[in-house]
Amino acid sequence: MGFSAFGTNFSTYNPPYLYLLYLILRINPDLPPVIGVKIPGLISDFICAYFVFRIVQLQYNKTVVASLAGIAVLLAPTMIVNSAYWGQADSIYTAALAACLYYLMKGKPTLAMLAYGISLAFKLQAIFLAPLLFVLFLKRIINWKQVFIIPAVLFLSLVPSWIAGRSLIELLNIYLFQSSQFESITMNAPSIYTWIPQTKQFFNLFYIPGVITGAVMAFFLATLLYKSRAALTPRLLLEWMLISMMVIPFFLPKMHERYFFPADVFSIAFAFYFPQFFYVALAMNGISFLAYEPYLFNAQPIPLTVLTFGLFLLICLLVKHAAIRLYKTEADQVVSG
Amino acid sequence: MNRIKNLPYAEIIIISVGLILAIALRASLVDFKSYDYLKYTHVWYNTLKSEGFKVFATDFSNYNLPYLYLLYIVIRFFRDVPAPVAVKIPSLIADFISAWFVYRIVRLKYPESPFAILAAFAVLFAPTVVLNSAFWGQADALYTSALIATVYFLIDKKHIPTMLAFGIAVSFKAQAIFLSPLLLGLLLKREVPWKYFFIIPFVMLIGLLPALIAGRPFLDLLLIYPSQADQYQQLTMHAPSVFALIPDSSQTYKYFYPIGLMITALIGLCFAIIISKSRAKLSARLLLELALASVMLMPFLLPKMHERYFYPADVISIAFAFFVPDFYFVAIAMLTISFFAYQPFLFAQELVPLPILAIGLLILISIVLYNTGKNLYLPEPETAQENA
Repeated sequence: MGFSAFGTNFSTYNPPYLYLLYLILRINPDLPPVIGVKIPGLISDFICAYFVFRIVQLQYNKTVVASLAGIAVLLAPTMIVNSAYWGQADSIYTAALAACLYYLMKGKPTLAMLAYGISLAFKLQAIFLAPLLFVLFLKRIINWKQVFIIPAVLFLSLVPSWIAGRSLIELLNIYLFQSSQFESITMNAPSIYTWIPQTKQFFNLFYIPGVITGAVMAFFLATLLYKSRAALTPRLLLEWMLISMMVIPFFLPKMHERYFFPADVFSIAFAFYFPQFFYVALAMNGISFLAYEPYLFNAQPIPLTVLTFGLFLLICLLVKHAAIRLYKTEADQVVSG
Repeated sequence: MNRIKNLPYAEIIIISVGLILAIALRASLVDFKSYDYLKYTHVWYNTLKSEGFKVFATDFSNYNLPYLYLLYIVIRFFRDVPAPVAVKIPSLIADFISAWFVYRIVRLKYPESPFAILAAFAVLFAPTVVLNSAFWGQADALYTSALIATVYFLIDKKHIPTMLAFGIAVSFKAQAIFLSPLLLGLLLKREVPWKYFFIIPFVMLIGLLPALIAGRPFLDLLLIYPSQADQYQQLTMHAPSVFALIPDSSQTYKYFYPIGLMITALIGLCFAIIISKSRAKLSARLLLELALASVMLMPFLLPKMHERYFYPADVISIAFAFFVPDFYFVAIAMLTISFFAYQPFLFAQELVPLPILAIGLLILISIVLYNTGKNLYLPEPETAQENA
């Protein structure tokens, strides 16, 4: 069908990935399909690694250290499995998120918003970063003009499909449709919902409370960050990026195991910034990988309920550490009790 | 109320968003009908609705009267609220009262920072707090909110409100006595004048008045608590208490129920004496820690406890975590253990076996008690004490 297929709803996926796929088909029609569909993800593996390299470079003058971080990202188990083996596309929006974080750390909010728009266009999961960006907006690090870049990029990403003949309303509904696609409270994600029975009855009882719980966590994170008077240093931004990517999917229902992919990547960068927390990267990547197993290998060496517990401990440690850093001055000036 | 006017607008937005989320979360859970609802509260609701106030002359329910009065008020003024929601309204309101007093407690330490607001919201969104009132339809939030008020007034050295609040707590549920070792200790230490203790039975008597007016015999009313204690014949009802570690049979029940009561009474007395003999200054931090130790220890030792009876420990542990950030793990562990203990009843599954939860709680209690003992008898110099 070629390009005209974009005029139809042949896929429920976001159009940008499909454009990339189309480009690959045009350039090299002889590529076996099993490789063709993976090429966008494979390329973005390297883009991820590149931006992690740049992020770590901000901290260390030595290129060697930053290169190690980039290589660590490329060799991370979920990174290898997600794109090359499974053929999923999580590294694409994660690469754009990494770019967004890099430009925020560099103090270039316009480029950061551009990257964020691209990330969101590829996958709705980029929304996990929204609470952090909202606080940056409130703190006037991002101005409202830059915020408008996000919908502009989203709109542009739909234009090719629109030209091909698909209605704009239908295109906007893609996101909504995706979120009502599956009916399970957790899809192998080590989230709090592994701790309740995996039945239809409990799905109905806890789906909406779960979505509100996700909003509650966004509210807590945003409030904690907003009320702090600490300077938003690059280190702090990285830490909050990681926290957002761990906490929000942990408390939202209907998450896939793959949705911790950005957390896997940023935990590696975080380990280079806070070497005393090296184990966070190891544990995060280990938990993610073990959570991939039920789907990919039909095996479950460690029950998801236990993985959830591990991730819960990691989140507690990180949030405590972040909160102490944010409120160090205040904690010192307390009224003696 | 002047304070609210002076809040900068950012604070108002944060509080409003948090309250909206707290209400939305509860609204999304509130139509659930638990087993307890179908078996008890629904029946009381129907009786109160059809018979009106005069039903208080009869023993239509073995529950403590104050909750039933509140239920009657809800039925009287909001007749159209569906029954599963109506029976939960008193506890739902109490959730917010608990949060308010936790806010006041944490504000004593941090008058300027947002920690007090965060602590209040941590209470409103704590899993067991949300599940207990909004989902399960239990009433533990009612007496706990009064207990939190007791702790707040105690720290604030306002003795008459302390005793009033404690009297209200005990009227709502006998479980409020989990805090009594601390109060007894303060009585022995003469921190609180003994005559104020008469406020407690006085408040309890006032709680019986409406039923007396309705015509129920006085002796009947006095027997409500004892009749409750005889209700179930199990050493533990899913509570991660010390009795989770021994088999629960009629044989063990026969011997260990009285022993459990006696040992708890003795340990409670020791707890009080240890407080009274200490020469440490009773700082806000120390009082809060003692309150936490008391409400963790008592239900852990007592037989016949329900999983829900750690509810006051859940809430006070949150306040304590904000007060002493180094002990944040106590709150997290306490809430997690409580949540897992709720699972057998609420979700019909037991992800973590009860004996393991009980051992976890034992370790946690040991840590809290050890630290409390240290603060009572080996107080650190003033400067180092608040090194959070």
